[in-house]
Amino acid sequence: MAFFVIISRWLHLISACLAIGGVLFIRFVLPGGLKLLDDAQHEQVLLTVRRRFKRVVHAAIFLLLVTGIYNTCLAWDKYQLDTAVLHALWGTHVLLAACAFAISLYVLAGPRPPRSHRKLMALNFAILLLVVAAASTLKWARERAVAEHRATVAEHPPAVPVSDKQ
Amino acid sequence: MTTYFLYMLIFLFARYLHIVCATVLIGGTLFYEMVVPPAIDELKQEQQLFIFARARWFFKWIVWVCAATILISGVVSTYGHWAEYNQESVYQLARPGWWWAAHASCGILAVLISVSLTIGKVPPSQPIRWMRLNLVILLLVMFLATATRQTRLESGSVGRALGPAEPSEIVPR
Repeated sequence: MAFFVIISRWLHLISACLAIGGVLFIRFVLPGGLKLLDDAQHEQVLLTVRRRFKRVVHAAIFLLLVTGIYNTCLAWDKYQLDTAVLHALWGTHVLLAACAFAISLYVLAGPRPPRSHRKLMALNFAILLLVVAAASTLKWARERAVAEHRATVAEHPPAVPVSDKQ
Repeated sequence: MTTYFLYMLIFLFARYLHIVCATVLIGGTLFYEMVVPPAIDELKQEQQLFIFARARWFFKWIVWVCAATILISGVVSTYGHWAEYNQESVYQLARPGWWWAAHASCGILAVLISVSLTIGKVPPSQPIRWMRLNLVILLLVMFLATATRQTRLESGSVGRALGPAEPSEIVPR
């Protein structure tokens, strides 16, 4: 079981790396590298990179969704320990991620990018950083809630043993 | 209470920076090594080298900032979890300290390779091979990080199931 948890989290992180690092590279690093090419070559390289990036992003989104659902199912019991904070953070994480997916799919749809693709990519990068911030805070809050719950149980053990309840 | 809150804020921020910098470093390396070369394959050799050189110059600053941030935030996070990493375990494989040691040593190696690839005006010979090797190491580092976290959480639950947690285990010293 622990092996699947580790693999699922690992895949989730790798997919996030692909999405965030890719957006950073295609928006901020690559245009600087292509500056001195003529317009036709510049466009051709950008379109080829975009085509390859599209495949990477689609695979990353698929993996993020599958592993995200699996991770949520595993941690759902823990989210009940402090519903106000944990559900708010989880919801923020999921909503921001959905926004980032939607922007990515819109910018990469069709053979040519939309006019506002630069602004949208920069916006997407900012949203992705917020997604990571929400996930990181969620993980911290979850561990804290579990630790507090364990301390409470240790201080005030239940009158009936857990095995008898079942 | 204020000191505790400040500690928590620092550890939370360190974790955030650690993850963001790792994603940028790994994603950027992957993009640089796997997406760009096939895309510029049809250009002339000089143009390809020029694009790589320019991209390397831009990427250099990202790598250096990320490398420094990863090391600093890694030290801060390690300090926060040090008590848990030193917990004894029945099985050596389940001891989080070993996983942390593997993660830290592989991580330092990957950061050193990344920085060495961007130092100087000319890239080293066979940069793509070095980047591929580094990518594999970075993926391994990430796997070790998730394994460290898992063993840390599991060892914590086993230890605390036996009795109340020591305050030093939860509150950073």
